[in-house]
Amino acid sequence: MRIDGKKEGLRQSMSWLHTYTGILLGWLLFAIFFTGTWSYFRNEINDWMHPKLHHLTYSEEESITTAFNYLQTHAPNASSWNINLPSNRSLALEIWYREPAQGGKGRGAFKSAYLDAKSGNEVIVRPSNIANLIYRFHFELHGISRILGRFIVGFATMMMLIAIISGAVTHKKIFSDFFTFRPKKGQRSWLDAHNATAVMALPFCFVITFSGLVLLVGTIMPFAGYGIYKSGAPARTNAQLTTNAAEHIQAPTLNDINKMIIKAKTVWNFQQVSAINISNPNTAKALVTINDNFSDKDTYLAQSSRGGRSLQFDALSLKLTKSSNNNADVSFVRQIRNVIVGVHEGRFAGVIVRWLLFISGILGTLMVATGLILWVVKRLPKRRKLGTTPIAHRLVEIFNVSAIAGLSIAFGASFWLNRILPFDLPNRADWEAKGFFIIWFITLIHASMVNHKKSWLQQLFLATFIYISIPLLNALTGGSSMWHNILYGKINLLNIEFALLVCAFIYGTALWWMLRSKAVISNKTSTITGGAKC
Amino acid sequence: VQQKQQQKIIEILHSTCKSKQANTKADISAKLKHTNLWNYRLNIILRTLIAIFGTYALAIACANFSAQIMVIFGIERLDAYQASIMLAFLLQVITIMWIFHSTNLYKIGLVITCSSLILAIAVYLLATFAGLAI
Repeated sequence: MRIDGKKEGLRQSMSWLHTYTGILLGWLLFAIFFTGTWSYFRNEINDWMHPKLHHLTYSEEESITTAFNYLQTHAPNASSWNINLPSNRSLALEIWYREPAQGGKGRGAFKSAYLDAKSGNEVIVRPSNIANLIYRFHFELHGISRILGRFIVGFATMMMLIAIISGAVTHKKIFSDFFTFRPKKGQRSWLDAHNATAVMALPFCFVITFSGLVLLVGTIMPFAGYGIYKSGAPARTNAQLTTNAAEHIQAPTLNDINKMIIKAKTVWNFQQVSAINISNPNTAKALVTINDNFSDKDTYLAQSSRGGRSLQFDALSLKLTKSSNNNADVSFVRQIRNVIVGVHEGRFAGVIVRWLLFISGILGTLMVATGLILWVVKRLPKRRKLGTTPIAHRLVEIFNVSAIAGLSIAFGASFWLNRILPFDLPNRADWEAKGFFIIWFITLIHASMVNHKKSWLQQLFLATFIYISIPLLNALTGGSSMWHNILYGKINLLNIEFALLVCAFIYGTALWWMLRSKAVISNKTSTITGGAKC
Repeated sequence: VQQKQQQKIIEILHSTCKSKQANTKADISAKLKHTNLWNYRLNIILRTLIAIFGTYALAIACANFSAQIMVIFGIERLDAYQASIMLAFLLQVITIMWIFHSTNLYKIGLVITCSSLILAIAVYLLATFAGLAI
């Protein structure tokens, strides 16, 4: 956009669009990207937050027996049972069930518990909701209505998609940019860093942003299907969960479940049963779904909502009624949707793919961060000419520090809060969430009160310290140490602690780089001024 | 002597060219200074509003219309719905980029409004009279 209204080239106009779509929603996009990236380790964060579960190890057989007996005793009339078995992504034996609906209408209350498979008792864990908070913040923010939150995130996602495409159009030499990094060159270095991270993560960012829009379509475009559906969108097909006391029979039995698992393992080559879902238990309509952690091509073409393969059996006849591997009925359009949504949610991913997704997420987050910093660096010469800092520039500086370093501190500090807050504090989980936002707000105040460079240095130092200290904190406050995790193969705890250390390394590098550039500048100044420094 | 004279002439010509260039640059900057900044800002605000609301309406209309066309051509409803929303999102992105690339604001407003209206009318007619909506 030119101020004189003259026509300009596509690259120039896209550059303008890229700058302003980026800067106006950059902070929100950073938060969405940051929380989304950590959501790839949502289960792992949740396990970390419950140190009582760190030392438990159970076999599959004893876990199933304990969970089944517990559900049969405590919730025989529930409309559904779910058993989450310990796996590479989850330490705990967790059950949850839905109580029968009051008066036969709607859905009943939802209850969950962690079980000790050896004693069969419930494990009382500290209430913590940080993993869920981070995950939900990613797509519906916090403290506002869900619909409004999703609308805002949907709008930001659309802006992100525009920024990605216009950014790609702006680049003349997109592939040579990937291999170009010129350090110690001020604005040029920031631009190179922005380009390199953007080009590296471009396919990931495009798919993740586009699939984000597809996932939110029900909220952001409620009338997109008005032309073919009177309601505006296809009806959701929820399984009918009803119980009928008159036809109460024990189905399935523990023996039946074991038979189904043997069948799944022998016929379908299931490697590790990760979850068992029983709908309408103890009725003639009972259905048992067995899930595996492993996904193959057919699985994620056929479904995207659940990770891993699944087999559904009729509880009475033990016949197979549905298989996730059957993608013959899934159309090409739905296969495309399932694949892109599958990548976004990453539920199918094993350890290596999950790490790849996490690293791609970090690259995307760095792309947004470098873009935000570039905006400030680019305007430094203009500010020097003016001799003052315009208020808008100062605001961007403050928001940059608190959005990038501040959010990182708040997230790292929530791990500390998890261990510092008293176990029996009323509404403990809420206080964890409040603590997260209070710390984030404090970083904003700090950034506004301290000199720009100092605020970066101090906040990056704090972030580095917090992230490095988390594995140690875990070992000292009842959780398992990294050494114990390596010895006993607790991959999920290792994943989260290594991920935190990777981030500590990134913050530490940024801090070291800033300190070094500061030293170089002061050395240059002292050389120029000579004896004046005395 | 002739060469020296020629060089002098060339130098004089260069200096006059430079001063002319400087004059034209000064003119341009003066013109820029006189350009109405508020007009520019208003232009940006209008484009932004069209980009947000206009393209949203266009995307919904386009999603509905393309879904109907797909259903007419025998594609399953759910597939038509999903394919059309994916297409609509891409169309919205391209339209927003065009809005900020094009110089003529009136043309932008006209194209977005007319195309959204035409598609919306077509969707309504097909949904109501052809009975495509179930």
